[in-house]
Amino acid sequence: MINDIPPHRPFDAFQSFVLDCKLFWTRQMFPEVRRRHEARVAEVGTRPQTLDEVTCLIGSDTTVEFFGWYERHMQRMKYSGRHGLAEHYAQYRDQIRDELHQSVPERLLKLAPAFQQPDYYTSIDIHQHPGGVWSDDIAGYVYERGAKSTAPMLNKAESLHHRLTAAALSRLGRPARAVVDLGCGFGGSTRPFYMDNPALDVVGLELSEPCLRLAAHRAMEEQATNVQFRQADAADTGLEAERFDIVTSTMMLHEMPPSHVRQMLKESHRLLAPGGVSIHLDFLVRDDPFKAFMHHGHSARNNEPFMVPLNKMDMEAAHREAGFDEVEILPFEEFSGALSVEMSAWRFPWTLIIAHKAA
Amino acid sequence: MSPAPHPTGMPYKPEQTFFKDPAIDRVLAMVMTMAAELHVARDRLATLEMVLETAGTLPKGALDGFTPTPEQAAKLTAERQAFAQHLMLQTLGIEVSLGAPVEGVDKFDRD
Repeated sequence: MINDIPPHRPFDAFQSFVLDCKLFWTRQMFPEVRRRHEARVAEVGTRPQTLDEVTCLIGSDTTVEFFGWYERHMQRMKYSGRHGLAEHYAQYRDQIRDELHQSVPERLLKLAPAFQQPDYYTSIDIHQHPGGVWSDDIAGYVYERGAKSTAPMLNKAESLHHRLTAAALSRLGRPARAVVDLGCGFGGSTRPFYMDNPALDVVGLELSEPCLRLAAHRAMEEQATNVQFRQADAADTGLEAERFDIVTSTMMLHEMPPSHVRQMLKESHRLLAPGGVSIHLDFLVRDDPFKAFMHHGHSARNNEPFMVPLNKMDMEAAHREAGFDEVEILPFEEFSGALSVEMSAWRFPWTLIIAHKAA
Repeated sequence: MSPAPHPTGMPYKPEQTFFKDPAIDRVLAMVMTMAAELHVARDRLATLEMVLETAGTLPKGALDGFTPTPEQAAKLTAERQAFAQHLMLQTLGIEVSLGAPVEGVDKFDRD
């Protein structure tokens, strides 16, 4: 059922229209905002050195106001309203729930019935997903649908998940035996690990039961035998110490308050075998006030408020405090050409944060 | 229609605003909803034409090449003019039902 929900022309037309507007915003409105910023810089003769200075310079520019409005409301239209993802798929709730609640082998899914969600997680509907990605039986399915158009420039055939998997395996510098993917959502980031590396022992960890059920269902469809999806907090996993060669996450850090990130790093250090690698793919802007202005604005507009404190965190110090020695923070090319100077469209500030546990 | 209660019971807050006048935020939301719905309707009309053409019910080009009879033309013209009038009337900013007098209602107080 979840793979053959019938097409509904009005829903598809509405969603396609919203995506077209988002692409305009990505490819044309963002470059125009940047051009207007540069024009103002030339006008005043001084380049802003801080985010506050960028705000003073262009915060009240009409195009910037439209830019913010469209970012906020294209996402709202995608998820909410009569043609929004949440409402559209709600009509198939029973079928989706029934299919996702079918038993899957225990090796694929381990839920924690008494699990208490952290309040930072339930108090904000991240991505403007009504009810968040945790409260509704179909939330994982809706999230999976929504993620398809989160960053329209991404190349789906050569996904960023494959790129991260390759980076993680290469960074380890030895054959990997076991990997844990923290905050794995519906398993998109976990899939290349278990599908392309059948000898790997893979664990996907996640707070949301609806996401975990979908992740396990997808793994069952793939007849995977080397992955288990488990419900747990990344800061307190309940997994055995030193079991893993790689601890990874994709877009998880920015959904947590800094105290939780620090605790998660300590837990990661505990989980890693000597010589293991911690590798997180997330968003950081360190040296460009204009990009910080965009990113911090996105944080508010997309209901992901912890992007800002994450961006202000001293990641090196947090890793040292957790027991790691050296930390590398590197730009990440999510698709070919993304880091090129020719690239003028809006993109997330994708960043790899890599650390090793002493051998 | 209000959104469904949040699963935590927490109250919804006022929507974010981006323009100097928050009325623009709300009007733009209405415009974009209308634009999206217009696209849905246009898509449906185009789809309908394709379905009818495929079924042979509607000869290819029949709509674009349609010439109305005088009676049909009069009906289409009347509907277009009424729509234009309804749309343009809003630009005048004049009430269409009688509100309270500008000078207040004290004059009706007979005591």
